Amino acid sequence: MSQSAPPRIPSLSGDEYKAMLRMAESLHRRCPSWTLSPTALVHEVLIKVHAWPGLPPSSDPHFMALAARAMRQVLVDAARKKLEVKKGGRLKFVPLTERAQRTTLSPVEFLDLNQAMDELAKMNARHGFVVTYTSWFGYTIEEVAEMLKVSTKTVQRDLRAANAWLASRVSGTPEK
Amino acid sequence: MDGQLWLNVVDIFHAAVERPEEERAEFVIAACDGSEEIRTQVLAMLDEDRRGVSWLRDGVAAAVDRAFEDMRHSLPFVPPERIGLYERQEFLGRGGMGAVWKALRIDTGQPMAIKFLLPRDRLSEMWRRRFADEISTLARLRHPYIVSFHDAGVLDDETPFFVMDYVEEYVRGMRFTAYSRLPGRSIDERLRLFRSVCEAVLYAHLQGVIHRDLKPSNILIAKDGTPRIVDFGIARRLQDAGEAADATSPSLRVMSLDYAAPEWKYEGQVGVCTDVYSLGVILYEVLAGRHPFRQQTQPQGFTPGEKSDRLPEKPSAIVLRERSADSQPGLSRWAWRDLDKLCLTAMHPDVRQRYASVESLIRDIDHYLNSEPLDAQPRMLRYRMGKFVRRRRRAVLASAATLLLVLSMAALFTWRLARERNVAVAEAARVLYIQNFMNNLLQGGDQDAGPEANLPVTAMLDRGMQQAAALRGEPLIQSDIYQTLGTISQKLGRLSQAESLLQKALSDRESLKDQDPAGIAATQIALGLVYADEEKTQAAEQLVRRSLDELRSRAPGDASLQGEAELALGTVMVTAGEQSQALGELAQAVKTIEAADGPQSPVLARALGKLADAQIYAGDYDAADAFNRRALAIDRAVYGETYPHVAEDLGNLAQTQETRGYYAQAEQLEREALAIMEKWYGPDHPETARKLTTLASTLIYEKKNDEADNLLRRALAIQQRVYGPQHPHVAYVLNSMGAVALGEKKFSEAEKDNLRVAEIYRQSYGDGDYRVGVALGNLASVYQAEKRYPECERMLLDVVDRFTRALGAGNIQTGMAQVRLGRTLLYEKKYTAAAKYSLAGYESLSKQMNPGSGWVQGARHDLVIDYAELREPDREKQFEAVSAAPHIQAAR
Repeated sequence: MSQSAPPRIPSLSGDEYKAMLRMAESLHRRCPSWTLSPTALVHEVLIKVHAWPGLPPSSDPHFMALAARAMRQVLVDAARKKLEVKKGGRLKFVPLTERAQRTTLSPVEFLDLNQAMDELAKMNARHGFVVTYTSWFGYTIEEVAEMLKVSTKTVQRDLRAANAWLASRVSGTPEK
Repeated sequence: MDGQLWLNVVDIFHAAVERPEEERAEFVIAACDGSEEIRTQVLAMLDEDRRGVSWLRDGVAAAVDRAFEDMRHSLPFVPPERIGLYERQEFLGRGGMGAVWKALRIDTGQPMAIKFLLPRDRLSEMWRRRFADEISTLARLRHPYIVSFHDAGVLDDETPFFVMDYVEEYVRGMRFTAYSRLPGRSIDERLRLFRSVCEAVLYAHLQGVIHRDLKPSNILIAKDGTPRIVDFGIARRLQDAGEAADATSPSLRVMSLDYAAPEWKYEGQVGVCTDVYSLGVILYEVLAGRHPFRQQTQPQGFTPGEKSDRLPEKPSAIVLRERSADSQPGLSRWAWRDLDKLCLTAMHPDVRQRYASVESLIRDIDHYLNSEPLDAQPRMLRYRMGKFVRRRRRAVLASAATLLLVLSMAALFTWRLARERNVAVAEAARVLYIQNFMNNLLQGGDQDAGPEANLPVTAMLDRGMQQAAALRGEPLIQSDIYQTLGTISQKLGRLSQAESLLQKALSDRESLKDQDPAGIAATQIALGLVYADEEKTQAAEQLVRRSLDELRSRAPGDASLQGEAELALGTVMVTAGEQSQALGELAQAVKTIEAADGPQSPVLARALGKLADAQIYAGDYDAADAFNRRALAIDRAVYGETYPHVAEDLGNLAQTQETRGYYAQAEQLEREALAIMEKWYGPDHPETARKLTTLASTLIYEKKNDEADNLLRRALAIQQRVYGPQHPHVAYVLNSMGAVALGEKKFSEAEKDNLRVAEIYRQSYGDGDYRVGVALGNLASVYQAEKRYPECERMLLDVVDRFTRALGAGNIQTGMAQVRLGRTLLYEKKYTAAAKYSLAGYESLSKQMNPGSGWVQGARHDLVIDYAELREPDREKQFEAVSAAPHIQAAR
């Protein structure tokens, strides 16, 4: 078979790969019960990312945002798959009252949240980034501040506003 | 909400949370400056902030965890560090069937992969014992794109495992579909990659192994970018195990239903077609970027329910809609039309409309890559039959007409394979084997060298016999081959060879322990037809009737074969001269075959052709014409417009028209047939020459001698070049040339032609053959036209004698020769002898021919003169009376 079109997969020792592996490892720490290894997760992400045109190099801050989005996509896909299995259902908002007692997200809410994350990232890329890396990938506020070259205070403020908004979206507060 | 508005919301939110809770609402209302949107947003956010948002963070973690919980249970099993020759290394991954670990073979230092089958407690005791044996069968598979098995066994705790190649992957965990869709790959490159997977699957099929669980996650990509298929045949083993352990849910545990063919999923039927379907679904993903019945491309573990027996959306529709993510510029609508067809034919829910084998799928991929029309494109049935031949068209062009025969038979095998809905694995492999065998016959066993242009038939058959003899371990395949060779020999007129081959096939089949009634019947039918050709009509009829009885009692379900038996019986009856019975039997055969195979089967076309012949015999030309036209329509649909079988049908129609005296129509049909042959074989092929000759003989009837002569000269040049000057095919042309020369009164030319014909027949068939008589009879016609009556008389006496010996005294040919001899003697005024032969001819012919025919009328006319000259008025009157009332005679 010809190898005429070398695929643009980052080499596994490259910076992009390391960056993503770190992401996956952090995620992995948060979900110790799964055996999907960080490496395997990165590969899932790589496959996703490489379906996208124009992937920037890892030195580009944009790369981490893209990679994060891909990683999030992998997680959401898995959740969506489960949801389809269970309900064959569509996404819908869950009324506030039902949620009050719960401490976790239903699969539907999880997918709603994902949608809201996309909106958030569109309104403000940094806010989206901060939430993704903390809430989703389990990075500490310091780590995120370091990545973004901003103060931890800024990250905290971003996070508080973004989370409040996300919670309102997921809880079904109507938007005008 | 746009970015600016959001920043306003965030600012007000931060300012508000600095304040005591009870002041916040008031502050927000003031700060929002009348914007209701900002106010609503901020108030909602404050509300959430007050409740606390930690659930969000925890919720995400929990949801992610839950989403992947399927993968959670894989690690409790850890194999021991030493497993026989192998040293366990790291965990590689897990699939539906078990966990895979890397291992090192200690003596060679080679890396291996060991798959441990889990869960252990579901496997039956018996199965565990047989496991290693079974794997060793599969270990025969050796192909660069197939991950080979090396070893198998069970651990101390009875966990079965097998050892296979370790594949250093291109990107760990990256599977086939994802790799094929990496950005920058053209559709052609993706198809080539997919084709290499097909190649490997085909290889396995030819070894009689069906994968049964092909899916992207079973196709790894090696470092060099080539595919490696894993778990060949394992699904079968596991399914057996599953059935033993839990009869209520066979196979669901291990199979990935997303890629399983409907007939396999719902009815448990497995054949090569099962893998074709899975390949089709994979191709769909390669083209469209997602599973045909799912919204997302995600690996297994998800049950789509009963959805996959409907037809999915065309891949092109998805690609065009989602062009942004995966644009393939430059692909035309036509290219997509072919890709859609290719893909949806491969994954057709109906087995009969799917590619019958991986080979045919590959062939169409190649057609696509070479920008040739797809076999699957025009019509399914046509594709089935014609594809085999079309692909080998060059082989057909390069060599003699025999090849077409062999090819057609091979195509029939393909079609039969497709016809069987219940193809057992063994059956499928057998049919594939025969197909392959045919290929090798044609190609001299060397796939790359191409066909031998002048492979003599004898050599070809000898080679086939040798191959068959070597197959002692496979009695079924061996009998199949003997039967095939026997039928070929029969079609080539080597009847005694055909007889002995088929007898061998039959006795082999009958001596098998597990008798296959259908197989025996099929051989009986073939042998019966050979007997019929040998004029052993009684034996033929007996044998065919026996096969029909056996079929009715022992294999009542096989209506197709029953139809073929009825067809054979009708054919035998025609040979035996039982015309009216034959008519009924053939009509029945047509009915049975149509009911069993549908209105478009090639066997039905054959039956209709036979029925038409029988109708011609019965004098019902309209019926004959109608049946021939139906046969023509079927062959056109099955083989396509330009195919030799279609030309044959046109020729049959022409013959009916010619018999009825409609020469212009006959000429038109012959010209169509000739055009097909010229297009198919080229202008210089013997088959084209044959059609040139047929058209010429119609033209001779129409007295268009000049054109006839031209055509015949062309035909003669071809046949002499191909067959040499001493061949019956040359004689056939010369025979017509003699007729033209005679018509043009070029007597010496006509004499020369006919003498040569007689000589060729004598050398080819022996002096006693009736065909020598036919040629000498034509020579006599020349003498008669020249008024060389003594020579003519001598010649015809010889001819009558030859026909009587070769064909019998009552034969129609003998009768005609007698009538001609009588006419010659009449010209010589030898009335006594003339009356003797004319009477004998008259009596014979009036029994067999339409009383109005020229032969009967001519004989009667001669007899009237003879008896008048002989002064026998009673007899004279007797024949005059007949003459005066021809309508009475005709009605009798």
